[in-house]
Amino acid sequence: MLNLFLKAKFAKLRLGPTLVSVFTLQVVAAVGVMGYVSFRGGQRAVNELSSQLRTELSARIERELRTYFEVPHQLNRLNAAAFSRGELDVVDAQYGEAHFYQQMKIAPNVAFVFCGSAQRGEFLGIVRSPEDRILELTFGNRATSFFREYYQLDVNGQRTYHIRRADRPYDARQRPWFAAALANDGPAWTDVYIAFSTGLPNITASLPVYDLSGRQLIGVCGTDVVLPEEFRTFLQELDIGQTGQAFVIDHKGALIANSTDEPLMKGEGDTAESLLASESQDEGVRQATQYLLDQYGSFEQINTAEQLEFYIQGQRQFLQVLPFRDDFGLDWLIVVTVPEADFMAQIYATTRNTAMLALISLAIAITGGVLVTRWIIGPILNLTTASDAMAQGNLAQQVNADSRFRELDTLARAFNSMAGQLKAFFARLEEKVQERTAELADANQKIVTLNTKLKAENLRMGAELDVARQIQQMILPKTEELRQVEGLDIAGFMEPAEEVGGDYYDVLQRDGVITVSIGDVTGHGLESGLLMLMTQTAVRTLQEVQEQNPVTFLDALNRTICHNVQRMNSEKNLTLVVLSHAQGQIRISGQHEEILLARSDGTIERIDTMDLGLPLGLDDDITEFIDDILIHLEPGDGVILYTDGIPEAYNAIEEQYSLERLCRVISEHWSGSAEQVKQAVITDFRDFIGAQKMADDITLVVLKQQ
Amino acid sequence: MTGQEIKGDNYSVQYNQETVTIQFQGKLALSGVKDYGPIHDLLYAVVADAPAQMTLDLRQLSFLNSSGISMLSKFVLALRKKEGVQLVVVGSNEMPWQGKSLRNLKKFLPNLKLEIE
Repeated sequence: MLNLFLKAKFAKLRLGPTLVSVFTLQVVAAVGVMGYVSFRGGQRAVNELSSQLRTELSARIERELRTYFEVPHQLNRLNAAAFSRGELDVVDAQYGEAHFYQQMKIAPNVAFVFCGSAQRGEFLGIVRSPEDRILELTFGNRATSFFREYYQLDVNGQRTYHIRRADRPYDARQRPWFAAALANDGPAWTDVYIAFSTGLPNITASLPVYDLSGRQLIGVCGTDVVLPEEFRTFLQELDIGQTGQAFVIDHKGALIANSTDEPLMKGEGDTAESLLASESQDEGVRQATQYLLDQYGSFEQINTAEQLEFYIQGQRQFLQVLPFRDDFGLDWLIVVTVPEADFMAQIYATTRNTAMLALISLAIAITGGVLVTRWIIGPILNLTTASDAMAQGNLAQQVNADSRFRELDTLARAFNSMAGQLKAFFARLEEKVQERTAELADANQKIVTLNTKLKAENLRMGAELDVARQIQQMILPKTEELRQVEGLDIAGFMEPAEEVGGDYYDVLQRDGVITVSIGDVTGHGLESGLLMLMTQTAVRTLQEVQEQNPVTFLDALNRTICHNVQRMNSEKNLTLVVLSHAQGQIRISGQHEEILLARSDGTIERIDTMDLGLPLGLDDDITEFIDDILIHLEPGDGVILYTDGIPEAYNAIEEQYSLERLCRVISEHWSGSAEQVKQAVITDFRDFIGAQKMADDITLVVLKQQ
Repeated sequence: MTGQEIKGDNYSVQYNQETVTIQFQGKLALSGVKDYGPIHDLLYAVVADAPAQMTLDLRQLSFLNSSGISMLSKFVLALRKKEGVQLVVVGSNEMPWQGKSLRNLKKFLPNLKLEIE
């Protein structure tokens, strides 16, 4: 079906364009699929990679943050215990700095450990100077009029000399951390606020402290964590693609940390406030925040790590948001954004390379295809042209066997060989034909010559035979003669098989003696006819000289014929019987067919003549074999003579006419005249042989005594 | 002379070298002396080897025309001059032509052995 369609649609394709098209189409298809798969694979890889990267990054950020925000609550518990046991003199600040000092040494991320008294807001703590990270003791109480004093510490954490005094009084009870601890009635985080001592945005873990009975609030211990430059550096050093960002916001949307250099606070001093992420100078931060708000309504709704995507100016951004919470009210979100372009740059580069490679492959494939096609098609075209020329009859065709392919060379060589053989064959054939034609012409010429000769010969022979036949017919006794024979009713018949037969009969009458002879010369033709004529002449001569002795008669006849035959160098001879009739007596001598003696009542007697002579012309002395018999005929009796042509004739089914049949016919018709008997026999004979060609002369003589 | 056979449409003439017998079969009605040439030559060739006895087996020859009889007669006459070859002619009474014609042969060659079965 498809084949039919193809046949109908593209009746005949050309080899060259087909091969090149197939080559090219294959390469295009392969390269296209390869490119597409590569591109898709790249994209998938980017998605996975970015996903892994974001997860990894947010996890690292979380881990980093945890290190900042776990320690403060542990310190608070230690300090609260020390406070309630009286190991820390918060109210008068006489001792306790060594306790804090050790903690500050151990926890480098902690900016401030302190406790505040619930009595009048006294305060004691050790702060890490934001500028040079030197630890300083600071306290404020009634003795300092609630102005905070700052002292330097020695290596043991003991205060040494006074550094400075704060410029305004301080009441711990008024601070956010104090309120947060009370409000929570347990460990609590403050919001981000500007630290009194450092002026930096700050978050404080605080814990209410009760007396040993556990009922009376004696103060609050706190630990400040300033999200330090280190964290910003940490974020910045994270390898977030080329332009990726990481930032941390609290549940209100305030920026806690950011990987960019943007300040996290706006305003100065006490009026400073946290910068909202949605107000960030940074486009990426602002858009990511806005997207999260759009997606979730508020930041508190985000409870699990999420991987999201959004677009900035049509550029896809991968976004991971990870809640960062602890048991003490810390509720932040870590956000990592990576522009897809950071990854895709590589992918696009790969895709560009792939495309370049594909184009190069395509060019190579097409060039290769065209070349190979030309290499294949050139020889094939040569073969085609040569075959075509050959088909037109020009056999002298040779093609080059120097293509680039062994098979084509083999084909070309085979073609050349075949062409050569064909040529040679045709040449031979032509030669043969010419030879034969010449031979034929020669033969034809001979035949023509021969034919001319034959025609002449035939004409001559025809003339000869014509003459011989005329002689033979002339020499046969005429019906008139037969009628004039006295005392015998005689009918004779002779028909030669060819123009001139070898059969002979004669009836001669002289002085009351009737001599009847019948003979059969072997063979037919002129020679047989001649022999017959001689025999007739010799018989007549003997009859004319009234030779009555049968031995002398036949001996003379035999010698005559024998010597003549020898002179003629002929192979012929003859059988002959002579009947001499006088006054109802018939003397028979000579060897021939059986003589039929018909009695008047129709009975037939057969008379064998084998012992009455021999064939004449074979041997010149046959006298001892010659004999004779005498037969008496009553009126109505008769004798029938014939040659072997009658009884030995075959019909179409290979039956011989036979002597018996001849006797029967004669017997049936014997009541008629000699002529009637003869006619009956001839008619029956003709009926018998039908259309069969007569093989021998036939002769029949009927004699009837009157 | 090896075993030879001359074959025609209706006849065959076979020469058996071991028994020096020439066996005739079928109907021989060739039209002239020339046509009997091959058989004639065979007969004379056998005699040329001067065998002590030579047999012509005509029992299967149902017909021989006058040319054939003439040829045989001449062969027999020729044997008169060739002493030492005993010619045996085997015939059959079932073949009508043989009864009378073969007797002639005996007349031409008195020492011919004629065996009519």
